[in-house]
Amino acid sequence: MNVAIQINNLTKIYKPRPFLPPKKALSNLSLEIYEGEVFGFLGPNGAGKSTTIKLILDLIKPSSGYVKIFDEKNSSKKIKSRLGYLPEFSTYNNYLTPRELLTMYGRIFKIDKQTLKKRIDELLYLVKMDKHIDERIKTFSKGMIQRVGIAQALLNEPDLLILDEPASGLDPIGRKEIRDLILMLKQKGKTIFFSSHELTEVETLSDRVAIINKGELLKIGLLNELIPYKQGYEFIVYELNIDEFKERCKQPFSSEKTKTGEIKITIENLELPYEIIETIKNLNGKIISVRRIRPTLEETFMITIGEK
Amino acid sequence: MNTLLAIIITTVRESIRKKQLYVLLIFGILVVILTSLANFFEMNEQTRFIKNISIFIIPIIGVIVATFSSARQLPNEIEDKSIHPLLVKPISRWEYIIGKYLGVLVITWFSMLIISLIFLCFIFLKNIPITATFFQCIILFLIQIAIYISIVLFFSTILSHGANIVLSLLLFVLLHSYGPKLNEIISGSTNILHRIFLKILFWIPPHFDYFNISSAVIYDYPEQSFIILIPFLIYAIIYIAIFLMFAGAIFSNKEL
Repeated sequence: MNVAIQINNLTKIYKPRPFLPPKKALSNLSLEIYEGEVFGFLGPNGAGKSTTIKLILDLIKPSSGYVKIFDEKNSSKKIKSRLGYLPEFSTYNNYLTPRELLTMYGRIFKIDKQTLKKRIDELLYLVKMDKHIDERIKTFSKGMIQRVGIAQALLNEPDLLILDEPASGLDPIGRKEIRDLILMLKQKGKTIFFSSHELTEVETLSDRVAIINKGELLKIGLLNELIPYKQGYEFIVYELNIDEFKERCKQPFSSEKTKTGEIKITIENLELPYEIIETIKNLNGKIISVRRIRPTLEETFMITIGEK
Repeated sequence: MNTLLAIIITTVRESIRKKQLYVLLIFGILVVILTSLANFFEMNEQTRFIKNISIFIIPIIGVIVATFSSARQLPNEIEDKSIHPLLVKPISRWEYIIGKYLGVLVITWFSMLIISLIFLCFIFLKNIPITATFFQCIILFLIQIAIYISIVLFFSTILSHGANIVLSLLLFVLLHSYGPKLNEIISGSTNILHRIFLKILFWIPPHFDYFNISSAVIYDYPEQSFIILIPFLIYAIIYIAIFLMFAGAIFSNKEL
């Protein structure tokens, strides 16, 4: 598989002011992000996520190590013309309209006038900002600015998208639209590198995930590697006498009532669910769902950070 | 070229949409009108008075527009991080600096030319003869302000917005007056090392007093050919290049 981003022993030490001790934001980080994958980058606040992104984008220089994008220097204009970036705190020139902002960026990308006009209209329609195309950005809400930010990130049809908290400031509908957009881009073969605090979002979208904390890489791998399935099942049932079930069931289990009034039965160390399903049916219980037990990414994240 | 044009257009657009520019232009126009309506002098004195005020107001408007436009460009965009989505695009930091410089130059020259035009109209209406010297004076102001903008932009790579405004305005005043003063000190000095040091100090900073031919306008000196402006232009280009080079070099290594 081709490597889209190669991060090699990246270290960043900040020297805030004279007479103050230097601060190590990143320590010997090495990562490879492959072409066509969606890569989630996780870490608590102050872990080094934004520093990593700034180093990838050549906004700051590393103290040691290097970054390559598509096997070239990350500072080259050729590479920058293949990148799209959505910053965490989207701010743009407030006195411009979305049309003017995107036109400015389009000129920098050397997109011809006709194509640029068409693309601006399409993108602003995609992010549902077409009705505000000629209003000044200073009148926009945070969510609207974020949508404009998404449009500018996609303007040059980038091969590599770097998204820093892409759903920040968006309502639930907007978040879903972002998820759908990322999945659509993935289907088109784009590489997406994104950092997010929304772990369910990362779990839904990512092929691989890296967890960093205090500037160090703690874990990296496919979701299935990071969050292995346990031996066990979860049953959602109703109309089941739990005492009778306890007598019949040979396995230790835990049960609780769900918010909607059903019963959730969790049995760990269960290889196959069929015997339990039979037992429930024999007791005239109604099964709504059967699910293999899997920890969430959030649980894995908390355990990983806690361990370190 | 596209890239530079994109930055220039945006800089000009942003400046036009900020209210400060209109306040300054309205102020300048009011001064022009009030000056022209003042008729408590005799004719000759009134002519001199109008010329005096115009020679004074045009560069003042230019300096204020230039200072406030240049000083905030970099620090504000770095502080609010609006520079990040721009610099990850295929634009070098040098192109950004040059684009910002040219954008501020356009808006500043535009402001100065508007005021100059209004003054010219009033001078014409008052039947005061308009000489080539007046136009040369305005051109020299424009060239002088081009150097000044490069200085302010250079300072914006190392200073905050507020500190830059204060220092730049002080420097503008100093660069007008230090030349003649320093010359006096050099003439009075007998120590060779002292004289060499002062000579170096004399020649390094740009001399804004060279660009001031207001006396020639006010007292109707004999007209000169426009060719005399060429050495001033070359002088300005050298200093602009130096300051922009320093600005570009510092900004290229600046952590964002």
